[in-house]
Amino acid sequence: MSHVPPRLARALLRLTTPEVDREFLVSDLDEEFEQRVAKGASLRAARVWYWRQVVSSVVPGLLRRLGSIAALLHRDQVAWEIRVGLRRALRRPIFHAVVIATLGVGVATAIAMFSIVDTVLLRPLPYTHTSRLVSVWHRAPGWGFEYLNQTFATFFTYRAENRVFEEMGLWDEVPVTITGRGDPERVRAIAVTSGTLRLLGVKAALGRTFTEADDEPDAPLTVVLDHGYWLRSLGGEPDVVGRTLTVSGRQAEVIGVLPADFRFLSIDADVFYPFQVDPLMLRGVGGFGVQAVARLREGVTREQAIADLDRMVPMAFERYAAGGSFEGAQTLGLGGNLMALEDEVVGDIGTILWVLLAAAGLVLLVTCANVANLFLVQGEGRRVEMAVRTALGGGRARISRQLLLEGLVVGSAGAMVGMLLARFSLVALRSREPWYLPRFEELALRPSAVALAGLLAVVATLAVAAASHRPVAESGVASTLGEAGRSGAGPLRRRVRAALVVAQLALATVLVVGAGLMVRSARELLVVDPGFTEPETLLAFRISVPSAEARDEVAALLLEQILGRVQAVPGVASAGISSSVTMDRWDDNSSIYVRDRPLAAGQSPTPRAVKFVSEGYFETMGNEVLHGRAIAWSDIHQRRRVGVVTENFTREYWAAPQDALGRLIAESESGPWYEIVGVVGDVQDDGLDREPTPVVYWPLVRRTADGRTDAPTSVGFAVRSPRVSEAGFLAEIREAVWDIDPKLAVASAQTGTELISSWLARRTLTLSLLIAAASLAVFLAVIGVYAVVSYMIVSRTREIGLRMALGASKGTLYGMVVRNALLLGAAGSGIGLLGAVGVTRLMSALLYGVSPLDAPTYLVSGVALLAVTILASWIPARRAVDIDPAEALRWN
Amino acid sequence: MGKGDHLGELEHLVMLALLQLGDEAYGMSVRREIDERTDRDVAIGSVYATLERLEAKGFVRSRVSGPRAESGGRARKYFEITLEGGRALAQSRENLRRMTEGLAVDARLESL
Repeated sequence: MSHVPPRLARALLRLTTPEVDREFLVSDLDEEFEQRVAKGASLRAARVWYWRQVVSSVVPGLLRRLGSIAALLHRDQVAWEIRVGLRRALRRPIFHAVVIATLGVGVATAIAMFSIVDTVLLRPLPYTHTSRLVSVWHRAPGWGFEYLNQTFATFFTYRAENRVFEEMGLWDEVPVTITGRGDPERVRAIAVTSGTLRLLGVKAALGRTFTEADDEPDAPLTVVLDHGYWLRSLGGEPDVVGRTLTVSGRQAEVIGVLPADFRFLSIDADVFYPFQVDPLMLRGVGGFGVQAVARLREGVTREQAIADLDRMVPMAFERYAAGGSFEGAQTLGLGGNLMALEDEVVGDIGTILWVLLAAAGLVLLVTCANVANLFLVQGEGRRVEMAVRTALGGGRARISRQLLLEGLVVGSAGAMVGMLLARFSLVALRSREPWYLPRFEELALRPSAVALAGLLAVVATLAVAAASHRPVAESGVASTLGEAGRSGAGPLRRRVRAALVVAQLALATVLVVGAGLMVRSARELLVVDPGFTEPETLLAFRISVPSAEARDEVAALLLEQILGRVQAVPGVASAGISSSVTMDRWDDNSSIYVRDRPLAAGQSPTPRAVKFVSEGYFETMGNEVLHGRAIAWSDIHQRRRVGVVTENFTREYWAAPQDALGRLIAESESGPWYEIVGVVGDVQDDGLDREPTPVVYWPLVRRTADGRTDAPTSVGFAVRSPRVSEAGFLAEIREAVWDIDPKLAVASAQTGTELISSWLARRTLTLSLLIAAASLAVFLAVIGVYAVVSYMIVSRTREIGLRMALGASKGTLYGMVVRNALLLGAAGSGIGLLGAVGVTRLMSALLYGVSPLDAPTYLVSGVALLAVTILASWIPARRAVDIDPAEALRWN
Repeated sequence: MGKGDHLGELEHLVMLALLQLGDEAYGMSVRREIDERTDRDVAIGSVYATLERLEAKGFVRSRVSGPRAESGGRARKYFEITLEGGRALAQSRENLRRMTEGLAVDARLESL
């Protein structure tokens, strides 16, 4: 029976002992082990002794191995070797430049994308106690709403009665007009209660923020300014606190300026002002149109908070609803709901970002594969050189060191280039203010990204060094210089290279499929009829008449006059007014009752989008009146009770659209009832990628049941003119408006094209990035194929010469080369397509009108990659054919 | 003499072991010699580390024997002291002698 020392210990010993002494040390220990057993020690005791020896030898062994590296760095010889290495690198500048640039691009993509994901998704919001910040909603399954807004009544009730929140605040985006300083300026403003800014933990940079005193309905109006707005519009005056601004016709005192890095959720607001709503003056529960934020008490869970909200919902109705009853709302299943504030700010961009990060990761992989491949090929070419140097006494260790240094130079240069590129891209992105990317103002190269770059540099260095090393290490000196060396790549190396290229092609295929699907989605979206024609000749803008300026009939008359004046501007074909122009993101909703579709007991009416329109609106938008007629000025002047609906609205209630004509609809069960006089085409009010929204159009001015005038004072204008894209056109429109009233601001001016593209902004960004990534990957794969095929030809020059000498035709040779390349291409794209099947499922949220397994896209991608592969092998193939057979046969 | 020329304690012991073992000095025998004489259970890895250090300083040289029948064909690495090493060892002993000159070391140690 042979006594074997413990195998695990032996392996550990081998691992931690430097190569130079390894065999001796291990055999010494084994011998001692055997002797101990032979001298009568128990097997167990001997094994224990062996283990103890191994364990206590680990540290000295490791230290010896590390010590040799440390000693390396201290020797002057190393400095000389670095110089030599750099000189050698400079002798092949193009190769190294290409490698460093390639690495740089891959690293830059990865760390830029990582920085974006880190900033937007991973870092907590820049408020205090962010984990406890929530936005407070209702849920109303009866209406189909998972998240329904607050009303003033519900907010005041919850604020007073809750047991789960430390603080609650209300807010709504309500633009205001600042006048009295040059041109009237329409600014983005947020109406708040004093708690809103307080619970976010923001401290004013100048002055103060709101207190409860500012919330009082009869207190003087105060405003707090955004930092950027203060710099831009008020010149950054240091004594701005205490100054007065005219805000929508009212005098308001500036009490503070917010810090530069503060942003209210994801809104770029200029001015904050208090609602100053008196809870005692509320009549009815009101419209669900405002939003609430809150900070949870410590230790309160989401479930507890929602339960508390559910408890309080009936209270709000009992206090404020006419009749004090909750029953009607109860049938809706009305209850509370919460969203973490982080989720609200970031929204649904998470999916996109993770997809893009994955794409960036793929690009990085392709880059590394490419670099490794290039070095493998280069290493091949230097095999003979290396062998000669070794034979002349270069020492394997020295050569390894040199390759490591070369790898270090390339790796760190690539990482540095990558970091610079990444920083540049992030700064460029931030300066373009991509409003559809939440928290974009926080974009920067994070330390975590820099650390990642460092890590990538190390990995790249090792990979490169390993790749260059293998050709040298594998074959001994003699075999390289002898006969065997002439035939070139050993089978293992060939397979490794082929595998790398196939991997690159596969990754490129996946990216191409992804980009292809996005392209198809984009095309599908462009084909969707937005509900208006010729976007390039349409101009939309908003005008708001402050109540201090004019009210009710006077305001309506003012708007009519403005419309008339705008229509007189040269080049204007038509113009119209709508409280909300299609896709301009202004929403008004109202419950609509249909007279001949009475609701069942306990059923609630469906809220619909409603718009108040003037004559000429439909004509200007190019939205055809399909049945009946449009709303006319006579309807408006005579306060006739008429309305127009979109076609999809009619289909919900009646068999044919024209059946809707003459029917009666109202906003309350008791009327007043309006007669449907026209049906127009569907409009994509909520973006192109959804079902068209049913819309009810009322006349611009109406008379309520008790005789008052009901008209919107903030409206959109639609103008149709071929001059829309002209530089001075908007100025002329502004002049026309100011002709009637110089105190009104023309705001949110956009062309029809801009209206559409703003909805598509995120998609467009994703698409551009994916196309860029795919192009990059394909380009890198092409380089990879070219390198592999080139080398194959070079290493088989003799064989090719032989074939030519024996009479092979050019066609046969071409065929030989292309066939090889085609095999690689087929393997690569095949694997890539399979991979794409799995991966594209993750993208399905971004796709529109096309399935993640869309066959044509896959087919085209696969064929494209194959074609690209063949193309990449064309030049090397031509070189093969140009080989002089006589030369080739002499070639070594 | 420079800093690197002084002998550490283990280096001292190893070199003395080499002297004791003469032609039979190899890794394990050195370890065994030290263990038997001083009861100091040195790890084989430390022995080899020390021998490498000594070799780098030029105090020790090594030779590899051919395959031996006893160890089933494995080669063995033998070590022996060089001239330089001998000088360093002698200097070490001289240093000790000088330090203990006039000192009744044992008596002092006992009175502690």
